[in-house]
Amino acid sequence: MLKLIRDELRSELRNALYQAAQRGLPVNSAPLHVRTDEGSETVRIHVRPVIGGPQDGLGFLLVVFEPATENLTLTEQAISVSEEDAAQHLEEEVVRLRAQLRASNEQHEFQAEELKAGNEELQAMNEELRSATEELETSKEELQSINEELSTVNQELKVNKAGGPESRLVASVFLDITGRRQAEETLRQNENQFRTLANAVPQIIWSNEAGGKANYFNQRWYDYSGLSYEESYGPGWQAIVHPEDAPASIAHWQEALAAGSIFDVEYRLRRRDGAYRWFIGRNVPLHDKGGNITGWFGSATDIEELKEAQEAVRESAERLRITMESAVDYAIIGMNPSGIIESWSRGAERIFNWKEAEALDQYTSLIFTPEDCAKSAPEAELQTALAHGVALDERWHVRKDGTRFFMSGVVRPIYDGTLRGFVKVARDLTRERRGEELFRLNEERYRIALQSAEMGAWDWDVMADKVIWNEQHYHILGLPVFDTPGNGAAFLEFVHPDDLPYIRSVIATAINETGILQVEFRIIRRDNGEVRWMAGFARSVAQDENGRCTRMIGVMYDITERKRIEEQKEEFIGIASHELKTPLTSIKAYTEILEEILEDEANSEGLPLVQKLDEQIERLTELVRTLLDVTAMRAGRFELKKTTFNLLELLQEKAADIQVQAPQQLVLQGSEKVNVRADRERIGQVVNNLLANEISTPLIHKKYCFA
Amino acid sequence: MKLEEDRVVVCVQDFGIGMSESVQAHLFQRFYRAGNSTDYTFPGLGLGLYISAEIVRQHGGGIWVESKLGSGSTFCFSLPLPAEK
Repeated sequence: MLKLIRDELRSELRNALYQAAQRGLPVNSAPLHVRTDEGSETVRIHVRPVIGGPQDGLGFLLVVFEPATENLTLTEQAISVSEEDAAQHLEEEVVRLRAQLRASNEQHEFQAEELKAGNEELQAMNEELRSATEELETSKEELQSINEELSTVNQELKVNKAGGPESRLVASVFLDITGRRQAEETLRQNENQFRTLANAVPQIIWSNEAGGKANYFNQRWYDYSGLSYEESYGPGWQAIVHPEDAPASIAHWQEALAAGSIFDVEYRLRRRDGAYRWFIGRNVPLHDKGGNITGWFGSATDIEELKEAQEAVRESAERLRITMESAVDYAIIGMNPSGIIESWSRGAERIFNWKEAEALDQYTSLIFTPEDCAKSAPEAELQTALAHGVALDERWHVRKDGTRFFMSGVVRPIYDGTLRGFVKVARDLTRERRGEELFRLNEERYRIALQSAEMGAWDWDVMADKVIWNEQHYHILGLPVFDTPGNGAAFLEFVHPDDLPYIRSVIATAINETGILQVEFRIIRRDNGEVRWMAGFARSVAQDENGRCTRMIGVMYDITERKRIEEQKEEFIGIASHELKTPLTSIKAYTEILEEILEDEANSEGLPLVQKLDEQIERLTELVRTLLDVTAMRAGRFELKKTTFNLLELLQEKAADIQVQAPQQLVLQGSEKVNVRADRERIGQVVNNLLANEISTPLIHKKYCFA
Repeated sequence: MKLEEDRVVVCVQDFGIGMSESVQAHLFQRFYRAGNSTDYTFPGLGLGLYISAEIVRQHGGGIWVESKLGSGSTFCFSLPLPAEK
């Protein structure tokens, strides 16, 4: 608020706030002049503590800026701010601010102190590091000087021996002995250090005399070999070298020893429990300043696990190789990043006929057709593999002899941090492709056959009620091709309403029972409303566990023309029968008259002939009647005259007739009186037909059982 | 003749050579004749069984044949019995 307020009001406001807070009483300022855009105005500031008192500075202060008018409502209980008070408070505030400033200063200093301390610590650490390094340096130097001293001692000992009693040398010997003692001490210390070190490392460590005899072994050696110092001394180590490795190792060591060169060998060493483990053995000659060999330092590092790992790698590589080699149906081709063939599997040899030696170092285009090469297909393939991690290789390739075959495979890049190359795995698909082509050809043949026969074909998934129609099926129904209806109900929409109940029932029978659909029905074409006759044939090709058809395939074709011809035929038969019937009736009548005349004349010659004529006329009449019946039935003009009669009586009558006509052996079984309501004549006709059917079949030794 | 629950069955049985299933399948069709169609050794138009079948069907009954090649045939038809009043 103090920030926001106009400059000329700030000190007044601060003052009022302070007082109100301190005393817990409302404070009103004197009228104050404020310059505004319009000119100047007079305001009063009223500050009122709202909650709480002066304690702890808690609570709220209400600040009111009032344009100064004559009507001063808030001034009654207020304290007027005197100039004196203001000065006093300003001073107090200054003191407070100063204190605050000091406090924050102190804080800052403290932080700086801490920072400095941190820095110093770092410095100290640095120092320590440096001194440690220096110490190391010093130790190194010390060692060096000790070494030097030692050689000096050695030298002087030699001199001493050789020198004899010369007094000048005595003094020097005396001096040097002091040095030697010291040196000996250092040496012992060094040796101790060395032993400690040697025993601490996981390797086997030993030393040899200049002549090759091993004269020191670390603890690890004894632990591993189980040998004593005496057993190990000299060439004793050779005892635990694996018999297979010993001759070569020993020979190699002898060579190194003779040449003073580093001895380096891989051999198996026997552990105290009898197991052999692989080691890398190394013997390094130690030289004095003059370059003479003073001894050997040896170490053996256990590499058994390394060996095992190597073996495992080798084995898995071998397995991979065998797998690759045995996958003779697949060409496995390795390429470097530029597409140069680097590996060529047996399968590749078999498929492409190029031998490995011929294919290696060739560019990948070796197996591509010239057309594909011209289109940069080999490069595109590698680029795709790089871009997408894999590239499909489905194309015709070329064998060594130039013949082509279809191959399917993939190319993948191989990474090992960086791109190492590509590998192509592919298979000769010619046979599959031929199969596919054959299948396509067959399908094409069926399509053509159906089309030329103008047959609609359909495939109905009964469970899902989905139907697929061929092109012709759409033509037949007068639909745009492949305007798919999708299900059985859609088809029924085309069926003539009069045939619908029949179609439904035969479909149900085919689905649920027979699995075969054979039907003739009418459809109404969608395009021109024409009624056409259809013949349908279908067969179930899949059934569920209850034998119910789940998929049916069928054909449908137009038989309208056939139906028309059939109808014409029916009509012709009808007309012909009718036309035959009239003269036949006359013939029959004349024959009867002729028979009567001959009977009257008692013409024994003519009468039997006329009777035969009558029989033949009867037969002809029967035939015509049959034809008329059929015509009537086809036209739906067949009517029954039903009465109630005893079926047994009818059968007895017919049996008697047959017995008379042809004396066959006929047995009638059943004697129950059964009243039926039916057309007696027609049922009699059925019985006649069934019996006649039997009788007219010229078979000997026939026996009838008429039940 | 045999009475069943709601129908009466009439059968004509022979002990002849019988017939194959393919013959049986076409037996009730029009103009069907056993043997060669142009061989008129056997008389008839091949309409008898067709007409019989039509008559029986019009009565609401059924007609069928049971036969096995070499062991005779049985032709049967059934008629529904009038409902008991």
